[in-house]
Amino acid sequence: MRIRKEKEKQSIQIRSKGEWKYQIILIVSLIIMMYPIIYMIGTSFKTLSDIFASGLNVFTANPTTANYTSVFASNNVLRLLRNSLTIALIVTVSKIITSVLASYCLCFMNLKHPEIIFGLFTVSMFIPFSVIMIPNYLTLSQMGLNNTLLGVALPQLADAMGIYRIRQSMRSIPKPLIEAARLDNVGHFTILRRIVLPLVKPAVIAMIIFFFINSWNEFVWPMLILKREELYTITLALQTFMDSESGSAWGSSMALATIATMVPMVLYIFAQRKIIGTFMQSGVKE
Amino acid sequence: MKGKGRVKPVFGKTPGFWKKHRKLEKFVYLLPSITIFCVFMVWPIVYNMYLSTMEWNMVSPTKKFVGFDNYKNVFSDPGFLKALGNTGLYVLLMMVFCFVAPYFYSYVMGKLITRGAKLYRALMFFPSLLSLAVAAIVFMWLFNSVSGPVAEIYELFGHESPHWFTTSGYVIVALSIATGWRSFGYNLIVFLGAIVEVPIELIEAAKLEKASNWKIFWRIVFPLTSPTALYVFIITFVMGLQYVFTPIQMITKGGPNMASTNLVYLIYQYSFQFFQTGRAAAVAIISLIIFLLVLLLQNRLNKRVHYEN
Repeated sequence: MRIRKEKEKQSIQIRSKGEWKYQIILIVSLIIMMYPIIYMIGTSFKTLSDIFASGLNVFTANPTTANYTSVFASNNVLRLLRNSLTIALIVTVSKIITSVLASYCLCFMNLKHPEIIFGLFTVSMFIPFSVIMIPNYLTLSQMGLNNTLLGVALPQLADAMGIYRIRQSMRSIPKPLIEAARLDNVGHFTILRRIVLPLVKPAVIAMIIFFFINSWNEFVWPMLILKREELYTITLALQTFMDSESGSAWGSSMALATIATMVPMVLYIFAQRKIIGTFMQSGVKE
Repeated sequence: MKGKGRVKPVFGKTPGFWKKHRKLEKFVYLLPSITIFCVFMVWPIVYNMYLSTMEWNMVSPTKKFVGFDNYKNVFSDPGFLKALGNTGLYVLLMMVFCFVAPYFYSYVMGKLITRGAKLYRALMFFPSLLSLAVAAIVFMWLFNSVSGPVAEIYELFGHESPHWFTTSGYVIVALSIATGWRSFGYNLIVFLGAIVEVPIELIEAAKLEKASNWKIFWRIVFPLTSPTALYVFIITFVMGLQYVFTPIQMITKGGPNMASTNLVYLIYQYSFQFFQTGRAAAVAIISLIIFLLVLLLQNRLNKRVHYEN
């Protein structure tokens, strides 16, 4: 124990030599990285004249909620939030169920060539969206799902990334455990629920948050499908501010952007470790 | 949990049923994912190839077969060549912001500092939580040439800020910065995951031998993390191809004079604005081929890296 501590101390000594240079680089970078977010939030509380007068300063002496009031007055913010939430919930729930089922099947159901099926899923992770955009749009129009929230969700009910990550987590479960349960005549679904799911819970929770945030933030696909304003998601509504380059919408656009960011931010604050942990572990280790 | 007596009564006859239909059960587990992938991933590629040989305006009930005419037309279209060049620029800049930079930072954060790594990590990931649409709108104001913060900085040095979004060249830089800023953190985390696996003893030993940090990176860290590096390289390539679409659509709509149009945006314009679906499909297939070539290249590099080690 003591030796280990000594060693650790020594190790830190070796590494901390010249560390301050890097600390300075990191602190400066961090300020630059965080500035746009603080700017967004700060500006949302400024009056227009304040914005023009304040230069680089993100804070204001006289904060105002006028931008928020005007956003709530001119946009049906609650409806925007409801639309975003509806799509995000459908997508997240469905993605997690399909990913867990497929991962379980790939890991524990003695498929003949699980690598082939898994390989196909993985490849689809890299298919550029531009190649599937037009046909998917046509398919959904034919199904009559153009201009519906379901139409936005439908192509994303399964997710290759989810299968990839959850399978990775399931592979660490010792197979004999599952086989023993099988020999005891326990059904697959019971094994999945009672044994496997509790063991892969951290990965599943991280993926739930990841799916939710991704769906919440999505722009391109909803833009193609949703043309009627009452169906807009909150991300989509941001584009209504872009037509006015004049600057009159400066504050209120930042207010809506801040509202749109609140949900992912809160989720991240609660589950920061889990999210970062899953991504760090994932890499491309096979 | 394992006893027959406890499980059977609760779940009735189900295990027996599935026992008789083993194949069916596997199928049921895979079916939802496979259906979605086939209908919305595989089929679209096939259908896209088919569309690329047709002349069609997306609404008329009939399509006309034109063979490779769409491809020929596309290659003689100066707009396409312009978009192709722009795409190259976007990809290059995204490589700087989202491949080189996070690689460097993850090395510094993972191996060269002894304090604060977790805090930096948590905060630098923050922008990756935002929607690209949010990033676009924030950077539109940041780069506002009259009184945005960037213009203020120019003023501090006595210069006039360029009109970022209406000047050819600058526009690509500005849009790439917005996209890169939003995507940097995610790649940083992926890199960090690989870097923490590099044994610290190796680096300490090298340091005792007075090797420079630069040398340690190239001789130790890079060879040990190259599989992850190649993976990040590919996703950054995809980002350069697709992620910039959102800021383009939000801020410039491809302008000024196509100076910010990339391939994906061109596909969107061909299909949803000019209703030349065949042409759009042809550009989509070309972008897929370019992407596959890069994947192939990556594969070969990957093999070489493995042989070297």
